[in-house]
Amino acid sequence: MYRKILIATDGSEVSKAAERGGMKLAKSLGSEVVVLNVINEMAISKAIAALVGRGFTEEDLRRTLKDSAEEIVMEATKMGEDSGVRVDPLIREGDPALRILETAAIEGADLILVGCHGEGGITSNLIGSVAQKVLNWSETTVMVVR
Amino acid sequence: MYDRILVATDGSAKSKVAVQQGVDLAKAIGAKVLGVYIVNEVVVASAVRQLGADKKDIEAKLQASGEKAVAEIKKMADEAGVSAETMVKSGAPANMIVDIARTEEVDLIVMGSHGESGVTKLLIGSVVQKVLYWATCPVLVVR
Repeated sequence: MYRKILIATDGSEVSKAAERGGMKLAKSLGSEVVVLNVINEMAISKAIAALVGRGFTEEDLRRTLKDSAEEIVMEATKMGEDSGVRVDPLIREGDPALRILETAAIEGADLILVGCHGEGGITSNLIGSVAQKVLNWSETTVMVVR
Repeated sequence: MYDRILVATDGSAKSKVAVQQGVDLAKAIGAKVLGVYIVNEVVVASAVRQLGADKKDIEAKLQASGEKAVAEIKKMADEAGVSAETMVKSGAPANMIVDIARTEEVDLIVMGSHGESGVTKLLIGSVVQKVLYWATCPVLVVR
């Protein structure tokens, strides 16, 4: 069935639901998993514009964001490995939706899992911009988790 | 996990790809399938008003295509050894799919990214878009 599942996560609650759903699917289907966190380039530049010169250096901020990304993917990797799923953790920088689509293509993923909302915002019923862009442009099957 | 999967169809070729993937997934994870076709009330109304069609006649025709489409789901499921129920209802497709998913307590909705109208300039079909807005369970969108 699905041989390689890409789980996109930003560490938010809904993303965690996507991680759990993806790992369970991977376990019962015997799929490989790629866990991807994209460090949002907008978040980087906003943080730099707002905080550099106020006791933070650009290096500090980049390192903090990188550390947080590492924590997110390592936590998800552990979740998978605890249930016997092989997980490949990845971190990219850029526009989240574009990087998700690009990574899915490069990795040859045949299923992408995304949360309906990430950290960006909760408008309880509708759908987040990252999930929407992935749905619009994906060439493969996308599962949107709530 | 995903014990009950709602597979929605509008009978189009694109839907069939989604149905096949839904049935394959159900087989792989040991889930049951609920095959659903919605007779689009807007299509009925506009056929009556703009084309002068007979309401009963057009409803019967759409009901028959619905029965045919869900029978195909049932056949695919039977061939895969997957247990399947089917349903043909009338209403606004997205609303009905979301309602049925809730009342039937399904764990996952599977649909194609585009349906019959196949307005290919749309990045994603309007029915699946609305289902994504309102569904309370995960939605798997098949390209």
